[in-house]
Amino acid sequence: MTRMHRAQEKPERPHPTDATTLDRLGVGQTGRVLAISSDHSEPGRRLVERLGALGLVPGTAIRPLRRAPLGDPVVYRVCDFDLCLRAAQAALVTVSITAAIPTRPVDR
Amino acid sequence: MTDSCHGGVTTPVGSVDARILLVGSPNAGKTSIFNRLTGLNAKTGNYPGVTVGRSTGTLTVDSQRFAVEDLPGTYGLTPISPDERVVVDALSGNLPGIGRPDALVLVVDATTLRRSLHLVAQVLALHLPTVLVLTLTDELAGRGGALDPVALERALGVPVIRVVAHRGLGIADLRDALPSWSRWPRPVLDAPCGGAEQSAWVDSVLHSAGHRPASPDRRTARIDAVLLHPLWGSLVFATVMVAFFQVIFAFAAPLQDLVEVLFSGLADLVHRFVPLPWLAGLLGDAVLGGVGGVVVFLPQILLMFLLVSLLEGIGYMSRAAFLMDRVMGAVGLEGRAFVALLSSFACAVPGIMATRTLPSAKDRIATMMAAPLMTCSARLPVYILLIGLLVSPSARFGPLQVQGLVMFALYVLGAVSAMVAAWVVKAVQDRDGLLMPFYMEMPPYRIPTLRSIALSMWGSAAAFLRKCGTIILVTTILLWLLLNLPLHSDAQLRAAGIDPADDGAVSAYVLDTSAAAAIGRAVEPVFDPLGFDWRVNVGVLASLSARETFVATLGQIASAADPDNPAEALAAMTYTDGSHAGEPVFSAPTVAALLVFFVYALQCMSTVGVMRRETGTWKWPLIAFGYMFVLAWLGAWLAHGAVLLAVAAGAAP
Repeated sequence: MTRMHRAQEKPERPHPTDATTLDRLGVGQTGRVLAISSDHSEPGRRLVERLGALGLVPGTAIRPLRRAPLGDPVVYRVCDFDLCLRAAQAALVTVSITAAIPTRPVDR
Repeated sequence: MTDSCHGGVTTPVGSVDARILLVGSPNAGKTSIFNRLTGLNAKTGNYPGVTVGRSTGTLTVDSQRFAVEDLPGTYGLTPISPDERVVVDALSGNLPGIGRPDALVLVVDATTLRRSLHLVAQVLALHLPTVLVLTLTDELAGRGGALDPVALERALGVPVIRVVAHRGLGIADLRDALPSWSRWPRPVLDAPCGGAEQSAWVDSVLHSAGHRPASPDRRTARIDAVLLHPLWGSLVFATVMVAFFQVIFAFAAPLQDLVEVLFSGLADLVHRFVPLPWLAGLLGDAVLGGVGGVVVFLPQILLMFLLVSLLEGIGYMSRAAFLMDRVMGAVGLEGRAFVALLSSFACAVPGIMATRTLPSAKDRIATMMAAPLMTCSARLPVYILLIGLLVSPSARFGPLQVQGLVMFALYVLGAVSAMVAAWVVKAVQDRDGLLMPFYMEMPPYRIPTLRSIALSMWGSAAAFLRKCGTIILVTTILLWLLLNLPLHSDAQLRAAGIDPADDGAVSAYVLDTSAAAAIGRAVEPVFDPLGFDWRVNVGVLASLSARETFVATLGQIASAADPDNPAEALAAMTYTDGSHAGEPVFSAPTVAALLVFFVYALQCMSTVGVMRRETGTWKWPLIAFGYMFVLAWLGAWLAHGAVLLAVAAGAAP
């Protein structure tokens, strides 16, 4: 069971074909956050809150920069800073893959 | 919550006019501002009942006295760790014995403003008088970004002050703004917290403040391309860690020798000029020995905090954590715990102090519980002596010396046990299900200021001397008394058949009749299964002050000609009574048991003291001492039995 936190102003799209989870986004690809999911527990809710506080809110552009030598964690560029996340947390974030690779995160 | 909270009504510290809390994200520059405001008037301690460090200080502006407190860094006010719980409780005045804050200084990194506005919205929703301090505006401009602080002030409705802490710019403005805290403008409307409304609010604030984000730091990207490269990055990491270890292990040694020479010189002076032998012993050996036993840690602590604050200030610490995270994650810790555990190879005292760099209280505890199992330098003299008794230097296994192999095995045993201990402690603590997710900001590389490094070294050394000094001093004096009381006059010595002029015989006799010897005999039933006789027990008891004391104490007991190198005298030592009378004390099973005992036992009151200081409670040092003693006893018993069997099997055919 997962709960989705979606941007309200966006029209509900059924899962676009180019959607994936953040941990599967390759270095060099750019994604846009669609939703952050977690279980219904209190810690799960707080985790979603925290990832939001780190800038992972629907609509934000995110780009994996570098994978650690042992495969995990990964450094991402999001909200004008470099954030290091483990695969376990990145898997909670659904992103749509955007084609363009902007030099800096898009300021909407 | 309102202006009426002024003064002594709600603040427990009667002499201050207002309590000001510094709140902000990690890396926002909170601590630099705190240091600039309070200077050397800062104190570190713990929040009541939790393993979370607390920094407080005072500041006087216009004859108003302010208590300033640097809260742990946080990204949001929905707590997911004990540290963040403290931030939330401190802000709402829910900490026992600590009153409500009167006003807040909210520190925001201008280069990460978009992200930081989430925290800003939550802090403003507390409705406390708040001033927003904007840091790193120089870096924002340098990386092509832009921001109008005046427009930001209008958009948020609270005063905004630009501060470039490393150059001291804007600190005076902040200081001057504090006395009028009760008249600071407040926002008319609450910022929306969470959801799409908040995203829209963030966009509108950024837009009206003329915000243009900084482009990624090109210098950082270039350096990271090397330092985080799978091959080069790992090589650099290994080099940095070897150098780090080398500095606290090897560079500290001559300085520590110097401290020891200085204090033994002072002790000699005392012995020469104080006519009463017992007073000279008490002052020269117990008191000066105790003070020296405290000061001897300073070189390591200062060097380690020099390196840690340098690596942290540059930004390498988070890179090292990134590289090591997978390895440490295997035992439930995170990459940043690696540095603390590595430091413990030199000494657990600086190692435990290095756990302050870990953001999670659970990780700090697990690392502290594991750190004393790493083979510290104080174990070396003990290992060298005991291995010498166990294995002949000429014994070889292929091309390798067996003595070296045993030493290596002991290091591996310690390190593996430490990792297992960390895993167990973490697993036990995670029963509550509050799994702290791992996330870490990788700040751009920056050049740390001398001032911040010096303050970090000064702060840690001062805290160590103030909080641990007493514990170490008292233990040393107590142990000296146990090992030397009751006192004997020359006449008594002669009556016992000891020549008072023969120092070796006298010290052996004093020890033999001491309170410690009585304890050593009393605890014989506990240690007998390990093959320890009462004299070994006295050595183990004496080593409570510092492990290396074991060697000299055994030397004294065996009345060795050279107490610092007592191998020969010990090899010849036999049981004086009981069922083993006449058998050698240091048989192979006993020596093996002693080695394993020293791998596990927390034979170090300095470690206990620093654990007490870092956790703020006696609970954790007592747990550590208890579990390590049980492990030490069981391990030693198994080693004793195993070697006994091996010897019997070897002798049979």
